[in-house]
Amino acid sequence: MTEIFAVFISPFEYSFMIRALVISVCVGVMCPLLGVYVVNRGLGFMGDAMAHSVLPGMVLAFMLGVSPFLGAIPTGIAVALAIGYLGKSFRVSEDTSIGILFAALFSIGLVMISLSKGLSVRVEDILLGQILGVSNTDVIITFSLAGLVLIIIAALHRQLVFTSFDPLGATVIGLPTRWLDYLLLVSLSVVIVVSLQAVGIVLVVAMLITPAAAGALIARRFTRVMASSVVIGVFSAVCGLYLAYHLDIPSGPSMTLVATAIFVLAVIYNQIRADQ
Amino acid sequence: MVEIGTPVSRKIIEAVDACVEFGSELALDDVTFSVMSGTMTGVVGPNGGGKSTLFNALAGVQELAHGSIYINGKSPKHARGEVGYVPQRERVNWRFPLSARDVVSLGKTGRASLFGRSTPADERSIEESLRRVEMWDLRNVLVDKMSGGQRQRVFLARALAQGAGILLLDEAFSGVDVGSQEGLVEVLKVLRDEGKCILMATHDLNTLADRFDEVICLNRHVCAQGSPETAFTPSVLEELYGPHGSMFADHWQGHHGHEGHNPDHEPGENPTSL
Repeated sequence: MTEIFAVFISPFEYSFMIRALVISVCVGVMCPLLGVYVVNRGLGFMGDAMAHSVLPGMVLAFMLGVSPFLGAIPTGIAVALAIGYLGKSFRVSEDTSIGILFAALFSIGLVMISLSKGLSVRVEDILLGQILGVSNTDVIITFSLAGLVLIIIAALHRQLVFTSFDPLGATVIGLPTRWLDYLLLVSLSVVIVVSLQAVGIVLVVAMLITPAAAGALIARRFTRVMASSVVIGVFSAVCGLYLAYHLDIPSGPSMTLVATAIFVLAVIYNQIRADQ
Repeated sequence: MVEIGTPVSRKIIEAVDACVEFGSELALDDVTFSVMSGTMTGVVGPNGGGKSTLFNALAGVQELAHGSIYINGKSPKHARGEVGYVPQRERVNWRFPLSARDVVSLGKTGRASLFGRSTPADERSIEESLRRVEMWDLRNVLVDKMSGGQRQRVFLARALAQGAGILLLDEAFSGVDVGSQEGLVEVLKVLRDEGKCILMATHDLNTLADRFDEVICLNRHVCAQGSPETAFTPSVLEELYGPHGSMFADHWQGHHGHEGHNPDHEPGENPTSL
C-alpha cells in the first residue's frame, strides 16, 4: 500500500506535478479528438509539418523571454492557413508544398537556436517535451485554449464530419466547407502548440495519430472511435507522466511509448476478433 | 383533368445558355434544357462531356461563366437544400467510419445545427428515409462495408432526409452489380411517381428506355433531349462518341448487337431506338 502511494500519489505533493497532470489530461483529450480527423482524412504528414513549423515562433519567444505560446500560437495559425491555402492554390501537390514549407521553417528555427546565445530553455526540451517544467501561466493558457477548441469541435461536430466524409455533398447542402477546413486546421495547430510542452515538436504527431489509430481498431463508429481514442490518449499521457517523473526521462517519448504499447495491444485484439 | 393523388408535373429545372469555363477550356457550351418534376432523366455522354460539371452547376457548387440555371425559379445557390446529391463513389472518403444511419443524419445538417443534435422530428425523418430505400435493417452497418448498391441507397436516403425535391445521381451505377441496379431503379421509380425530379448521369445506353422517361445527350452542349426512343439518331451518336458512335446504330433497346438483327431497322436508317 505504501509502495502504491509512493508511485501514484506522492508525486502530487509537488505543485509542478499537479500542473503537469492538468497539461497531460488536456493533451490526452485534445490530441486524439483532433487525431481522429487527422487519421481519417490522411493528415498525419500535415500534423507533423505543423509541429515542426512552429519552431521559429517558439525560439523567438524564448529569445524575447516571453511565454512560448506567444510565439508558437501565431506561428501555428499562420502555418495552418498557409498550408490550407498552398494545398488548394498552386500547381504543386499538397504534400510537396507542405514539405517545402515545414522544412524551411524548421531550418529557420534551428538556425535561430544556433545563432542565439544563452537560450533560457534546452533545445532537447523543445524537441522532446518537458512537462515537469510548466508554469501556472502555461497551465491557464493550455486549459483555456483546449477548452475553446473542445467547444468548437463539439459544436461543429456534424458539419466537420460531413465535410470530411463527403466534401461535395456538404457543399451542395450549403455548408461552408472551405471555412470548415480552415477551422479544422487552425484548431489542429492550436492543439499541437498546447501539446508541445508535454510531448515536444518531434513527437506530437505520435499523440495525434497513435491513440486515434488504436481507437479505430477497438471501436467501429466514428463517435465511439473518438471516445475510445480520448480514453487511450488520457491514459497514455498520464502513464507517460508517471514514467517521466519516476525514470527522469523526457515526457514526449514516455507518453509516445505508452500509446504505442496500447496500439500494439489493439492490433492484437483486433486480430483475435477478426479470427473469431 | 388531373387525377387526385397524382402530383402535378411542373418545370423544376431550367438551364438557358449555361456556360462553364475552366481557364480557356469550355466545359459546358450554351447548355439549354428543362426538366419537369416527376420525371426520371438520364444524362448520357462521353467522359469529359460535362456531365459532372453540369450536375455541379445544378447543385450550385460550380459558377457559370454565362447563361442561367433556375431551380424552382431560383438560382442554384438560393435553392440549396432543394437539390440532393448522390456523389460518384471516388468523391467520398470511405475511410470515415460512419454507419448508414450516421450518413443519413448528415442530410439534416445545416449551418445552425450545433452539437450534432437531432430533434425527434429529425429522427423520424431519418428512419422514414431509410425505410423508403429499404435500408432500415442495415442502419447500423458501416457504409464502407456495404455493396455499391447499398451505398447508393444510403445516399438516396440522405437526400430524402434532406427533403430534396431534385435528386442528382452522378454515375450511380458505377461499381453496382446488375441486380442491385434494378433494385435501385425500382426505388427511384417510386420516388419519381411521388413527384421527385431525378437526374442520373449514366454510361449504360442499353437500359435507357427501361429506366428513364427522358434522356439528355451531353457533349459540352446538349446534342439532343427527348425520350430514349427518339433522342438518338446517328448524327447525335456521332456527336457524342465520334465516328465510333455509329456502331451504336446497329444496336437497339434490349439487344446488344450480338443477339440477332433488328428486322425493323436497316443500316443507314435512323434508328428509332438503341
